[in-house]
Amino acid sequence: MHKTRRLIAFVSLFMLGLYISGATADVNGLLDLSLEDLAQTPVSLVSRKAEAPFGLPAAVSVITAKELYHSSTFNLAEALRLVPGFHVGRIDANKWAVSARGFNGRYANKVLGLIDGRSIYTTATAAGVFWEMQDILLADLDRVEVIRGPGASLWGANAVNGVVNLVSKEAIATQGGHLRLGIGTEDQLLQGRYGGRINEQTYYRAYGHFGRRDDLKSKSDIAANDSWDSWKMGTRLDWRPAVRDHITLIADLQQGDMAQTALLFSPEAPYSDFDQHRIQFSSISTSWRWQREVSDRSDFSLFSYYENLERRGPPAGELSDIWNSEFQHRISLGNRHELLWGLQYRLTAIERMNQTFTASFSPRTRQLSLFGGFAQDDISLVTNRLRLILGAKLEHNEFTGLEFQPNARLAWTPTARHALWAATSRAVRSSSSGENDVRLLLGVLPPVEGALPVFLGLVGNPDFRAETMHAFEAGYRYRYGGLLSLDVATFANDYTDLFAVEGTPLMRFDDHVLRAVTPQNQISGRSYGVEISGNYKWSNSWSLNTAYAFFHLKLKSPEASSGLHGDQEKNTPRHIFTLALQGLNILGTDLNATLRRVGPVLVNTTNIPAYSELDLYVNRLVADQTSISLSLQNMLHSSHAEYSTRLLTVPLMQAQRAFTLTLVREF
Amino acid sequence: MRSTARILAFSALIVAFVPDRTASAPISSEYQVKTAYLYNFAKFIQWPEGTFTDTTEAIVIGIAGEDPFGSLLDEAISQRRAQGRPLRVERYHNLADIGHCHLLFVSRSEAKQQSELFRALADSNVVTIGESPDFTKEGGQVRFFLSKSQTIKIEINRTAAHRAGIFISSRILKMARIYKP
Repeated sequence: MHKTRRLIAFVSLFMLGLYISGATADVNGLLDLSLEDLAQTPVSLVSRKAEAPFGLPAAVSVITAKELYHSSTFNLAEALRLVPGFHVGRIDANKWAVSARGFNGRYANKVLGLIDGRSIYTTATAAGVFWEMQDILLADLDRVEVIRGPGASLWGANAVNGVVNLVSKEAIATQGGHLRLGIGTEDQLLQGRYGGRINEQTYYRAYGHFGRRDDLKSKSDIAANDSWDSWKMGTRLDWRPAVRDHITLIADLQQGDMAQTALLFSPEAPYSDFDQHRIQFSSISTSWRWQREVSDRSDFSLFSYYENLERRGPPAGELSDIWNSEFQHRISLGNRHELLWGLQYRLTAIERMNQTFTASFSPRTRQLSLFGGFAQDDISLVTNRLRLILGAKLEHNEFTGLEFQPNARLAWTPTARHALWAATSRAVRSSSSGENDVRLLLGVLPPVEGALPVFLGLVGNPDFRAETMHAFEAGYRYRYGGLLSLDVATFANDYTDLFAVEGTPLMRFDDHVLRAVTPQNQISGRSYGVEISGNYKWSNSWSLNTAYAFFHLKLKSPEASSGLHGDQEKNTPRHIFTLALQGLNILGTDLNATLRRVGPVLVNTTNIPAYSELDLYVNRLVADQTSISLSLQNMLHSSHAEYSTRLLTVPLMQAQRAFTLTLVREF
Repeated sequence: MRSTARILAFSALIVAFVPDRTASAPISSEYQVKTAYLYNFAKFIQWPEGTFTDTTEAIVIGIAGEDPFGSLLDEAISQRRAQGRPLRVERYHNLADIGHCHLLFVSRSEAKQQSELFRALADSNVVTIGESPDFTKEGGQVRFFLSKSQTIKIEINRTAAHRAGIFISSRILKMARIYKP
């Protein structure tokens, strides 16, 4: 029955797609195009200012709007598979592990994320980015800038192994209407946006998004229960009251409802059981930014945001309010120096809710202040040839105090085709409030002969210090016009004071005994690796991208306590290979294909074998402003496992082959 | 599944009834794009204080020599404002006619005499825009050119712009090629 209905749906979509009305060129619409659209030039903003990546002394990649839009995925986290050196593992329908250069996991905590300058890295319960809560209209993204390696000298703590910076389009670049409807075996989505003009200086857009994802496939005898719905709506306003000023207002509202199966504990028999429950999240965020160009050698910006974030559901919930303000100033001094400096203050108020026997936090509320300042001098030693960047960020956080994170970067561009760079940096991962305050159960030993049950758990350590990294990086870039490019980045990272757990004395309670481990800065280690990517672009249409990443991590525990580091050495694949074909036009149909091979990983005690998968995306313009596309994900296998979790015990799930038909209409 | 069907029906309705907005039609003509550029120059270039006598004075776009825009430019900007000012087009048949304007588009027909023009305009705050290959080399400020990917891009002679005392927003600069002698 429902198959027929689906068929009817598909057919009606095609019919809709054929609905056209003749369009005549009208220069009025053109006037409202942004300059970028006029020149069709993707412009990159890295190092907190606009710049193309070629001569930059860092491992930087940019995913363009076009690449994003033509990727087969509907989830932001999975779009990051396009970035060389990034590992994205789907844990279940609503959880991903995303990291670069190691230390991946559900709570991967060494990669920072930002959306239009607003941090999406949370430290309220566990540290990291909850990617499922970052639903975004991929069509409104201008680009995703990704730094692999430390970005701490500008972005501060937790930008240890990478920064993902999502930059949305200015309102003028999203004028008119856009509707996207997707129906598939795993994903359903409905997205709409309308952009308009208030006057010559002011443009806006408003958008809405609804997404529904089906359960993944369970391989164990525990039924899959991880489907989820989310919706989001928001608006952006760009006002340019004068030539030199640009004011941006952004407001977003979102809500999600996710199913989850997780092992929960109770002091009474049967002590532990897989429980099916739902998790709700919601957030409100609003930000404003004022940018002023003082002269062509100097500009500044003021930026503030407020966010209210709620996440409820087993095993625990949180309610956070975040106020953040930043100031940044760039000035050119003489012909050789470009100085960039800034100040930041952030206040985070956290309240823990829905505490359960499985997970609880003490204290129940926290107020965290963060102060920071950074300065960077970009020195042109030899004009257009040799460039030195010296910079540092000094930051104070509530848990680990003052953190100094400097870096030095050198780029040599002997000709317009070759660039060589090297860098050294210090970066820290500040401890999270979770690591300080949590009491999380992980296992149970049922009682023997009337004794009390013994629970195994993790108990926070208020003395847990920051994890520290010293990074050494070097890279090479080659380009042959716009036709061919090659990017090689290598790194060797030294880590000290890494997270490891240590046993604590038994704790006796009325109805149970807790045998806990606690976070300690016990281990050190060294990682090294290389990320190679090549791009071949045939004229303006199709391109071929290939990327390979190698990663190795060796950890060292103190002698008396070997084996403390758990799965950390192996929770990121040693090899990842991708090959992508983009925009090949055959008889008016755009074809995109991505093949990936991901090496085996060990998550907690679960071995997940290597896998290869193929995604296809076919897109056809059926009318002037209407296109239909078919996304085919995971074509090689009916299902495969990608990742699992360490702290929260959920059953191993498998990503499935998926088909999604989407209709896009611009008006 | 039921709710999916409902969403589908709802969206089908929306899709079917939204009017086509012809505005975002594909960009076709070269001079439509150049018109849009000129409008953006009026929005993102600041003239020095004293250039305008009052706050309602129009920004004048002059066209020197043969006019390749036809009625396109007039139609496009007649209902528009930039920096709160109305926009007006004036045409000058040859260089001797050139009157008071803020943006001056120098047609290809004047390429031979343009360096003379730049000398004559040396002390004014006029932004010169052209499309002859040597335009920026000879002292013009902004030159249109066709890129390899068949899109229209701009090249800016910053020294010339500086001499004219105008401020060009980074919005324009970041997408322009900077002329290097």
